[in-house]
Amino acid sequence: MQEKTKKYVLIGLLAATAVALIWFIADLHINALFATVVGAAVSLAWWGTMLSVTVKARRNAILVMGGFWTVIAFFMFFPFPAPEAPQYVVGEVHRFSEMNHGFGRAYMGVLGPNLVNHGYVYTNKDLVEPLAAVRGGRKPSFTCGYPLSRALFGGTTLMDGLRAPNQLSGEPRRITPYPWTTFEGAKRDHKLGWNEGDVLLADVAKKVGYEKARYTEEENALMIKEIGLWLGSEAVGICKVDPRWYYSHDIMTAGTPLPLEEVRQLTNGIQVYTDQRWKRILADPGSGWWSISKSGQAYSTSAWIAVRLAQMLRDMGYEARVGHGGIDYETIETPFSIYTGLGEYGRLSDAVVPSVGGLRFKSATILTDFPMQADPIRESYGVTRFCEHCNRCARACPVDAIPRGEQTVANGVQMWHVDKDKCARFRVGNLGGNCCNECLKNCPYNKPQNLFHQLGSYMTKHSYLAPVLFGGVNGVGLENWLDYENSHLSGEFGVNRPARWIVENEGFTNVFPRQVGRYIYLEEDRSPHEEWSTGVGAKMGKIGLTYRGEKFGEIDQRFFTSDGRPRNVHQDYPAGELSDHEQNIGEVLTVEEARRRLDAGEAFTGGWYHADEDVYPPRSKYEKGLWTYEEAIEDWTKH
Amino acid sequence: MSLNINIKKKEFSLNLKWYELFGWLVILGMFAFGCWGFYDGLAIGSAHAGWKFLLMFVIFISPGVAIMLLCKPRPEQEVDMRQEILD
Repeated sequence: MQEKTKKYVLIGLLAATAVALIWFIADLHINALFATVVGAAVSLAWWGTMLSVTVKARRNAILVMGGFWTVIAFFMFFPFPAPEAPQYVVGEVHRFSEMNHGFGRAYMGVLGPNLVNHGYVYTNKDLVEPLAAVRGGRKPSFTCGYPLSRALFGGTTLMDGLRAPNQLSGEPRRITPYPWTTFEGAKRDHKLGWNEGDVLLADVAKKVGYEKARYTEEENALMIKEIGLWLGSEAVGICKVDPRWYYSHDIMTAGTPLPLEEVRQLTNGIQVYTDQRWKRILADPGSGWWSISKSGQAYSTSAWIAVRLAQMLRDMGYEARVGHGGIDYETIETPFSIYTGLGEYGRLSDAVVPSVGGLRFKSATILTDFPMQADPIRESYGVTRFCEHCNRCARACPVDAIPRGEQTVANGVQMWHVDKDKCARFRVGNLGGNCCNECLKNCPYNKPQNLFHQLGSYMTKHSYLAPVLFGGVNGVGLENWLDYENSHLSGEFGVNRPARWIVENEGFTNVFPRQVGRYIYLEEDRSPHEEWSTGVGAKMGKIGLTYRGEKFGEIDQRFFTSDGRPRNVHQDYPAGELSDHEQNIGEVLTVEEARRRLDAGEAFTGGWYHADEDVYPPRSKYEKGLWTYEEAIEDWTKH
Repeated sequence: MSLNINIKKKEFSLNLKWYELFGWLVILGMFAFGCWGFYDGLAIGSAHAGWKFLLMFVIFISPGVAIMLLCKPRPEQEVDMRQEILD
C-alpha cells in the first residue's frame, strides 16, 4: 500500500472520529461517546502499524492520552464545593391537611368510589371482608391483602397505641399502656438521668472528653443519636420543629383539627430511618404482589425503634410523641429529613437521603421537649443539581405522575411536585400487584451503601461533570446505560410489566361538598384528573419510550374492554358481586349546609390551596406571609 | 529527561521511560476501576451493570492501549522493509 494511501485512510478514520465527536457534542449520546473513543483507538492503531512513529510523537500521544484522563479524573474526584443548599420556602406556606395527601384522598372517596373499594380486588372477598370488623369499621385496603402485609401493617397498628400516653387530635385512637411504666400522665414528674451514675456511652464519652453526663444539649444529642443507631436506625437526625410541619387535620380520626397551642412545648424532632433493603427493591417488579410489604417492613421497624426511644425519654421526665407510618403521623415527614441535614428534595418531591439509599427508607419521628442541639443544616448533597440532569423516576412511573420538567412553586415551596392523585390511584389500585416500586428502583441514589457507590454519591455532590455524565437529561446518561436495576438475582421475573389500575366508571364526576367523618371536602378538593381516572387518556407513562431494552408501545389489547377503555375493577368481578361496595363513602351536603356545619364548629376543613375563609379552624400566624424556616423556629421556640 | 526502570529477575525485564510509566499507570488505573465496578455489580446482584461498567472502561482505555502497544518508533531499516512488503 502506498504511503499516500495509508495517510488517506488515516485521515478518513480521523474524519469519522471527528464526526462521532460532533455527534457527541451535539447530542451527548452515549453511543456517540463510545464511537468517538473507538474511532480514536482505531486511528491510533492504524497510525502505529501502518505509518512511521517518532519517539517524540509517541511521547506526545501518551501525554495527551494520559493528560486527558487525568483532567477528567480531576473534574470527577476533586472536592469542589457542593452546591448551595436549596431554599425551598419562597412564599406563604400553609399547613397540610392529612386528609388531603394521596392516600387520604383515595381512602376518603375524593378520587372515586371504585378506588375507595380497592381492598376488595386484592384477595378473596371472604378473607378481606372480616377485616373491616377488626379495623374499626374501615374497609380493607391495599395494605392488608395477604399474610405478610397484614403482619407488617398490623404491626404498625400495634405500635399506634404506644405512640404517646395521651391523646392529641384524637390520636392515638386507643392508648396502650407501656409495660413497666412507673409514672402517671405524659411523663415522669421529675427528671431522671441516663442511669444511676450518669455514665455516658463510652463512644460519646470519648467524643466529649468526659464520662459523667452534664446534660448539655450537645451531649444529649450525641447520646440520642448513638442510642437510635443502637436500636437499629440507619441514621438519626435531630432538628428544631417548624410549626407548619404539623398536619392541620388528622386522618385517622377523619378530620380532627390539630391546634398548634397543644404542641407548643414539642420543639425538637428526632427522626429515625429504616432501609427497605437494596435487594428487595432490586428484585421487585412492582407487580408481583409483594411490593407493599417493603413499606410495611420499614414502617413497622422504624415505629418500634421510635416507640422505645420515646418511652425512654418519658421515663427520664420529658414529653415525647411518636409519629410513624403507615399513616400514624402528626407531622409531614419529609421536612425532618431535609432540616436534619440528612437529605434533600429530589424530582420525586420526596426527601432523598443518600446515607439511607436515597428514597429507599421509611422514617418515624419523635416530637419532644428533651433539650438537644440540632444538627447543622448541611450543605447540599447535589441532589437537586443531579435531578435536573436525571428523570429516570419520571420515565419509569407507570402513570406519568412525576414531573419531567423544571421545578414549580406550590404552597410557597419551590421543588418538583408529584401529581399525588395519579400516584395514589396507581399505588392503591394497581391491579397487577399492590403498590408500586418503579421510582425507588430506578433512582440512581438507590444503591447499596458500599464504598463503590458512596464514591458515586461523593461525585454527584462535588463534581460539576458527574451529573452531566450520569444523568440522561442534557447529559450522557451513563445510569440509563448501566441499568443497575436489571437484577441477575430475579432475572426476567423482576422486570416491570405493563400496568393497569382501577379506573372509575365512565362519566364519573364526584359530588362536593362531601363530609367524611368530621371533615368536609369542598369543590376545591376535586381531583383535576377525574376524566383521566375513568380511563380517558390514561396510558402508561412509559409509552413511546425505549426503556431497559424494551420498547413500550401501546398497552396490550387484553387490558382493554371491547369499547377501548382500560379494564377496571368491575370487569375483574362477576356482574353484581361488587354491588355492595360501589357506593362512595361520606355524606353529600348542600353548600349552605356545609357552611352551616363549618361555622357551627360541627365539622372542619382545610387544604393548603383553600382560601383563608374556607379553612376551619382558622390558620395560624405562621401561615400568613413569608416565614423562612429559621424565622419560624425562632419565633415558635421563643413564644 | 527520562526515568528508566529496570526490574530484573530471572526472565523479566521492564524498561520504561517516565511518560510510558505515566501512560501505563493511567491505563491500568482505569482498568482496575472498571474491574472494581464489575466485581461490585456481581456482588450486589446487578451483573448486567457490572459487565457494562467494565466494558465502558475497556472502551475508554482502548486508545491508550493502542498507543502503548502499537505506536512505537521502529528502526529505519524495519520501516523500510515493512514498506516494501506493503508495496
